[in-house]
Formats: sequence, structure tokens, C-alpha cells
Amino acid sequence: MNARNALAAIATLVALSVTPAMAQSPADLSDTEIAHVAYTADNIDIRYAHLALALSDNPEIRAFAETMIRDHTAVNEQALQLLEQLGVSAEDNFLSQKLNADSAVIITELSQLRGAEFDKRYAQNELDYHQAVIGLVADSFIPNIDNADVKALFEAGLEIFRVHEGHAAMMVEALQ
Amino acid sequence: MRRAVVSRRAVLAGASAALAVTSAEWARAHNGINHNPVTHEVEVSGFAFDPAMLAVRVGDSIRWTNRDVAPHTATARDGTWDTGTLGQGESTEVEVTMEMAGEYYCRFHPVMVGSLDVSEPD
Repeated sequence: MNARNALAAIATLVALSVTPAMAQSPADLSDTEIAHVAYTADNIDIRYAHLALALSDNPEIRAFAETMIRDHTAVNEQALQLLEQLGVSAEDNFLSQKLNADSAVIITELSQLRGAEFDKRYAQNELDYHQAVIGLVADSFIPNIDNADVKALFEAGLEIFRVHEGHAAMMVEALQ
Repeated sequence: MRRAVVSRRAVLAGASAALAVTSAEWARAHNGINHNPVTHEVEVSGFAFDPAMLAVRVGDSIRWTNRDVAPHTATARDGTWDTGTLGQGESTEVEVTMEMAGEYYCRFHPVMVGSLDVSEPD
């Protein structure tokens, strides 16, 4: 290994070991870390939806939950296909871990509710969750994504999340 | 011999069909009627039907194509017709009947609404 190659190897090692660990703000995440957050966020909402299908008899809640599973699965399939085309893998990071930890608390809470109490809490959580994800995607992710195809997928995702937010808001109002 | 008879009948049937087609074309030409069934395209994109309102005639066809990542349907409000689930890039064609007149929507995203103005063929 000549001196130039050795320097390049050290630079690569430094970049690999330091960059992910330093990302402590959503805006600092790399494209592959952002992809991981999106995949995680989709899966969390799919888990909430499966819980709703297991616990709710309300036809509106059940139809909404089925739509969440259908739409978020479609987004995740597109994301995985895109990552494969780009030859990269999604990278776990602090934000994915935080989303998972927060969702575990909410799933525990939801699991203990039944009937109208569950329906109201599920609908409100869907509204809050979609609003939080929309803020994250619109303000922190899309402006910082480098790859044009990844950005296009997030813009499509944002459109879907906004429709879900509107649907959840109607559900919350109807359950008042 | 039987085969010859059948063959002659087939020729006669073919000739009758040809005469019928010619008569229909003649009638259209001489009565100022000129409606051949048309296939209309509706793009499902950005959580909307485009065009949202469509004027069609009985016997026409409508082809819905989904451009969104999210799956969609085009479904009659009263449930009498439904394209079924359309994934991204998928299309379904439906032949228009008078009963399809009115509003339709996406079963998965009720905020998506379209309408059909259906008239009888001339």
C-alpha cells in the first residue's frame, strides 16, 4: 500500500466511524439513514394498524387501519426496490431507535384499551403521528436528501402522509 | 354433403353480417349519427382522478391508470361497479353503462372523488 492509498483508507475509516455517530439531529442524517427512519416509521404505523384490526370493531377504524397497512407497505416496497437499485442498504441510527422506543410505549398503552376508548386513542395517535412524520419529512429530510430518486420517493410519501393526516383528523372529529 | 350445407350457411351468415355492418354505417352517414365507442383515459395521480368529471356514452370504455405509489380504486358510491385494487402503474378498463352515471370515489381514500356524465349513444 503506497502512502496515497494509506491516506485514502484512513480517510474512509474515519468517515465510516465518525459520521453516523455524530448524527444527532434529523437534519444531519445521511440518505441511507433517512431511508432507515422512513422504513421504521412505516413499520410502526403498520404495527399500530394491526393492533387496531385486532382490538377494534368500528368499521371506520378498521377500514382506516387496512388503508394504513396497504399504503405504508407500498411505500416500503418502493423504498426497498430503490435501495436495491442504488446498491446501498438502509442504516440504523439514533432517530430510528427513538421512534421504535416511543412506539413501544404507545403500543403498551393502546393494548390496554378497549371499545370506544381504544378507537379514540388510536385515531388521535394516528393524527399526532402523521403530523410528526410530516414535519420531519418536509422540514428535515426532503431539504437534506442528496439523491434525486430518494427525494422523489419522499415527496410521494409526503403526499400520502398528508392524505392520511386529513383522514385521521376526520376520524378524530367523528369519534368526539 | 352436410359439410357443404354448413359451409353455404356460413357464407350466408357472413354475407348477412357484412350487410348489417354496411347498413349501420349507411344509417350513421345518412342520419348525421357518428358515434363509435371511444376509450377514455382517467389518470389516478396525486390522490385525484384526472379528469375528475368525464362525459361518456353508453358503450364507451373508461381506462383508469394509477400513477401513485399508494393503491387506489374507482368505485361507484352505491357499490354497483368497482375497478378493484389498482397498484402503481396498473390499469383497468370498464365498459360504460347508464347505471354508472354519477359520483364515484376511491374506497381506500374517500377524499378522492370523480363523476361520470353518461348519455345514450345517438
